[in-house]
Amino acid sequence: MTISGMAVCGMSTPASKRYQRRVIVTTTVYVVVLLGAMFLVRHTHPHGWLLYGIAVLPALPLLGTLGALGVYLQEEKDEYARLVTMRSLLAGTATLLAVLVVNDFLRTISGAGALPPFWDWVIFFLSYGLAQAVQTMRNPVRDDA
Amino acid sequence: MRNRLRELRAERGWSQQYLAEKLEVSRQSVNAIETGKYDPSLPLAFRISRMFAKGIEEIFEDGA
Repeated sequence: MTISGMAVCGMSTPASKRYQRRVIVTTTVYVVVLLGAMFLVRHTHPHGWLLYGIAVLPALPLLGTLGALGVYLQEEKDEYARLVTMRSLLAGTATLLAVLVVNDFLRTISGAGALPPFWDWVIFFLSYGLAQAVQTMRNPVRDDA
Repeated sequence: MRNRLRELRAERGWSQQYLAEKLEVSRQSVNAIETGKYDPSLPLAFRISRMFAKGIEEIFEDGA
């Protein structure tokens, strides 16, 4: 399971279960496509547009994961769960934008290097998960209630 | 917004889980409403009011 496959709202709702099933599918497709693309590039040495096309293929299932988040928000009937997810998405987006803009200035003015590949994905989903965990901790559900 | 949800639920001997299932929301939602961390939408407030057979203003106080 990738980092994007964690519980979407920290709660078990019918919509969040469907989201998790969709993420399992997109993650499985991602692994297969990534391995296939690496195999093709290593053994057939494509170039030009074909190489670009193969390079983009593994990104498509990951875009599907973002699509699954959108579908989840459409399907979720529990308004509090939807709010928790919306806040978490906002936290993830804001954190990613903040890191990127600081890195942009570091690169432009001080000649620092760019972030390593795929760190944007990690930063987004880590801050998304952290925002979700904070909200869960702020709304503890007691066993005896 | 303050509310009497926990008190009304206790009077009836309902658990959070029971109320959540009846309202078709998660238990976390019921808990967030009871503790004042989340104000429900008007449709959900109407559902809660029907569950307790009370008017919305008898359950929720706007604090104004």
